[in-house]
Amino acid sequence: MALDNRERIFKLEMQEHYQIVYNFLYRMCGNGADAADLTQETFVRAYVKIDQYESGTNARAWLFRLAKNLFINDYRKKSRRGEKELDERVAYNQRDERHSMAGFVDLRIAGAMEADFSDEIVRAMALLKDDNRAIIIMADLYDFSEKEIAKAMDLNLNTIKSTTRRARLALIKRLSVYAEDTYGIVNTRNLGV
Amino acid sequence: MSSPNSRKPGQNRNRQLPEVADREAAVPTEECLDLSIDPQSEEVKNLDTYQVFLKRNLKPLTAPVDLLASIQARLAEVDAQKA
Repeated sequence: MALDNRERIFKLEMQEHYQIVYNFLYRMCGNGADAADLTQETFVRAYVKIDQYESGTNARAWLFRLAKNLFINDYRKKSRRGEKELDERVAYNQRDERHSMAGFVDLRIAGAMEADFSDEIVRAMALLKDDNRAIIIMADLYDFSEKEIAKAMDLNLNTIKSTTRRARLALIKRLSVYAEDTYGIVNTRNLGV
Repeated sequence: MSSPNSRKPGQNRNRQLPEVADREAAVPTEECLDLSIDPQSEEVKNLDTYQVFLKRNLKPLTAPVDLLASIQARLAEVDAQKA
């Protein structure tokens, strides 16, 4: 592709998404410096591989796919922090299994909609599998359609639907443990399990 | 003479008796967080509420001010290598 055409597509369709790509990567890796580095790498990769992008389609989903692949394939392999988080995730899951009320707590809490849950949500999201966390971010923070997520994740639509459902369930279960410990159980509901 | 605490007709008619209040939660005055899951489908019942809750707690972050300039500098390096 000629240089001017590459630059034109990049400037018109890619560049505007740098903030949202940074936000996505920040939520994936949990710190600003690494997110900024990964954002740079994502855009360099996008520029180099721009021949693979069909102009006028969905630049945001394409960039998220590059960003997600960079995070999982490069960052995770290089970072020892990934191993630490994995250990924490295993420990947390073991705690979850011992917790007899896990999955049964109704999170309806008066005033909680206004309360600051940000630390707990970040912590609960860190305990999700990388793919699940990526899907939650795309679906629930950035309003990606299931079709866009399928494209970004390189998975079929049915897999996205079932994984999104499971990821939300896992996130809410983890938040419910926090809510129970912090606020007490307001109500209990058998989820039919 | 009536006692200052005696109830006049019609007063506190809507007040719940304690034993009823124990069984039925009062309507909360603050906005309620309902993240309940449908037991059949395992879907979040109130998806909008859940998404607003997440967005309120995970607000957009501002990228470093020099990030775009850094990206453009990296792209210039790529172009220079190709030239």
